[in-house]
Amino acid sequence: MTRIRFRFARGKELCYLSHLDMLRLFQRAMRRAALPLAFTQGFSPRPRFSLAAPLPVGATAAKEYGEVDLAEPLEPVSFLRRLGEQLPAGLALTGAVTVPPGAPSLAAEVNAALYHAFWREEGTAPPAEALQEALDRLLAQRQIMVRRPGRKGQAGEQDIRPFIFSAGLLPPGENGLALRLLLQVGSKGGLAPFRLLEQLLPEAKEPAEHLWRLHRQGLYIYRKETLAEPFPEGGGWKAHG
Amino acid sequence: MFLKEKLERLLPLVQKPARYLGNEWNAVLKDHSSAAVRMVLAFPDLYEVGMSNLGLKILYEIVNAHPRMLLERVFAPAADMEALMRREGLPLFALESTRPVREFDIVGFSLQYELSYTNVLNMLDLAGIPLYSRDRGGGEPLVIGGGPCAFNPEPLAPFFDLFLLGDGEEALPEILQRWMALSREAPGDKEALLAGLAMVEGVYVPGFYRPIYGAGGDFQGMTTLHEAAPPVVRKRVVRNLEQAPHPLAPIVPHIEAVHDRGMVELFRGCSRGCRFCQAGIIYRPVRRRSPERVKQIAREMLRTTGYEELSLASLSSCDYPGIDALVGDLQAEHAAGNISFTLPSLRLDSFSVELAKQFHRGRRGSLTFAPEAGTERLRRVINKNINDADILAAVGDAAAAGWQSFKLYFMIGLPTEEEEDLRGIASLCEALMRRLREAGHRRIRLAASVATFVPKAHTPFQWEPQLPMPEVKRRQQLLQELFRPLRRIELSWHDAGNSFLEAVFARGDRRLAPLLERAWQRGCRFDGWSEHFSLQRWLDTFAEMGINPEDYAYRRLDEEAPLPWDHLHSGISKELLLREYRRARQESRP
Repeated sequence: MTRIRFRFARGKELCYLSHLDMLRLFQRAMRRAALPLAFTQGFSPRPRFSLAAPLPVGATAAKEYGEVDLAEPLEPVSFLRRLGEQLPAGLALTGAVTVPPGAPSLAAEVNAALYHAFWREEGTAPPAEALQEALDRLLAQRQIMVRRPGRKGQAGEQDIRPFIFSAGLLPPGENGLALRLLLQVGSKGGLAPFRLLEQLLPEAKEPAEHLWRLHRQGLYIYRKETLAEPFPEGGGWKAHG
Repeated sequence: MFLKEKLERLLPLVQKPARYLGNEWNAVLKDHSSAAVRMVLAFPDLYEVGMSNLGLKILYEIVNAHPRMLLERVFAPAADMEALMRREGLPLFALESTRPVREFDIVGFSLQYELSYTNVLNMLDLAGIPLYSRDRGGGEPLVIGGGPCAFNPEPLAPFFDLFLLGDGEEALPEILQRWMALSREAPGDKEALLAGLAMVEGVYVPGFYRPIYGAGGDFQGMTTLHEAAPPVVRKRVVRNLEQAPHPLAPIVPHIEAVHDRGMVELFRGCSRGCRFCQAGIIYRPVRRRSPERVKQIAREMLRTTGYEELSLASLSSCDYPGIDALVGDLQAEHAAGNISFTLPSLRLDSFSVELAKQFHRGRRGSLTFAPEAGTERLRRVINKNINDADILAAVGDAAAAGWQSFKLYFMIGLPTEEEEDLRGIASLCEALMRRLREAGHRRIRLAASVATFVPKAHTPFQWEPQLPMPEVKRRQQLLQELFRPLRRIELSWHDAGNSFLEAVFARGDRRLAPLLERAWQRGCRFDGWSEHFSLQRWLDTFAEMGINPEDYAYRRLDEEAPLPWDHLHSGISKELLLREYRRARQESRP
């Protein structure tokens, strides 16, 4: 059994696909590439494959990660070539490595996501100072209670403050008003960026999804105030290789 | 491009934006400037429904394989998207190129279902194309239609330039070839174009025909208005399905289609003769693909799509000779990839234990059987000749092979139906459940789905009235009461109003066209979807237009009188249908 971890970018061509759509898309691309997939046991065997941290629908991304188990060894370079040929426009593989045995899985490692949020409609953006002020006020709170979609009662209330590692304005650039958000993701709880953006402008008449365009810069292992990529060149389990 | 930029601003605002992208795997984007004819295939329902249609996949590959032809797709936008498109002035566009539909040479509608007719009008309007054929000049797209509803398209007649009856794989390329030649010879001359196309076998140009009505409004026949129009249009039939093209690289949707799997067509047509079934008539004769060809198609399709599941499609796949061996071979060949093979509907009467075991290996789902009627008497009337003992045995075998979930399809309102037949539905379900429990199968789930009989053109029951709505509802209530004491059996039924409207249009004539337009103006859309369907809005429209819908749905048609679809030939003569109809009535006697 060989585990391959791969990195990819997702462009606007495919930004409207859900996490489930993406899982289906990758699995079918892997089958087209005739990769020697390893399957789960049981009644309906499925490829042993996962994508790290669901990307919000509508967002683009620079560095996303997936992991797949193969029944036979395969050089990462041929994995890249074979799978790359079968991916539609809007998905670009940017790296693949063989995961050493015993290394933690992507899901166990990745715990932070860095987003850039851009104001969609030029000319309708709130003043940068006002936004900074709102941000400061929000981050100064020790608790930020929000209602989780689809849940009722006490269980529906959730404190999202612990999931915000940092949030700030990006220096003015060609993309206009923009925010930088470093948020927790993963099995220990996480925060969808739009939930935070809603809190930032609670008076907005439109849903945050309509106001902001999201780009995920990367997924990280966030430990002791440092960000490491879950990929050899950035640290991660390089020691194993 | 301007339209594309506008679209990109709307996509974040709608549900399931991936419906409108058009960049799926295997989608074909051809160069418009080098194509001699540009067509868009319009499916008047949501993307997820349309992308499950085999006909669309077949035509897409055939036309796009031709170097000088181009075929793109468009589906009915969902209500939220339609509202935004109208607000922002965005015209209906083809998915692949994001070009306005009205810039294409031909718009071809897939007519699968009567309750999609208002969507047809809505799509034409969204495209900015005049609804009526007479209002479209030589510069506008040719609007054509095909599919099962083309066998009685009269309610749509004034909106369409032509219909194609029957199989499209040879006829559509022929129509496009002819279009290229004619539009070169006489550009902009629509009459010459239609006259030329009317010569293609299977093509029906409704504008070349006029219905004659008697003083009492009774239909007396069709008269032809043009020398190019044959008095009777015969359907197109692909003689050799083995050699006919089959999709090998179908589009793989980004979002989950209703049937989210590859489809390999085993055969076309059905050797059974259920007297209510229109598909059984219009897809005749039975034409098969060989097991070798099926395996070759499956191999190629899996390679090009990466699907994890293939459906072996036809009207009655268990009737395919050697189906057990074929499924076994396919599963063996693709074992390493864990590919599952499924049949769209498993028929009780030809279902074997071997087959049950084979499918069990693949995926655990539910098995669907269609006894249609509750008693053997009524099954003889509709020519569905299976008895209760067979049904019990087949379900017992399947349960023994490990299946736990069963769906049973029934119909109410069938000709000669009596209360005993309704009781038969409940008692059959009860007997099934008892048998399964006695055999030690716990946790069995049984679902009975009850549709309402809709008399369809070109069937032996085309002369029969539909059961009036109040009586349909009474019988549904009776069923509900009969099922109440039955545990672990789920009962569901079709909306009576929906079936009523379907019956009106299934035997409709041209006088319904203005009504259809009015209903669309009043906001009728997606009439097959319960969340959009409003019977009251339709009844109000009928009242406003002075048309009694009951005249269409509830009338027993005169066996001697001409029918509005007599000039459209399904391949089965009216005499034969009539013979079958009379035989059905003889069967009803004890």
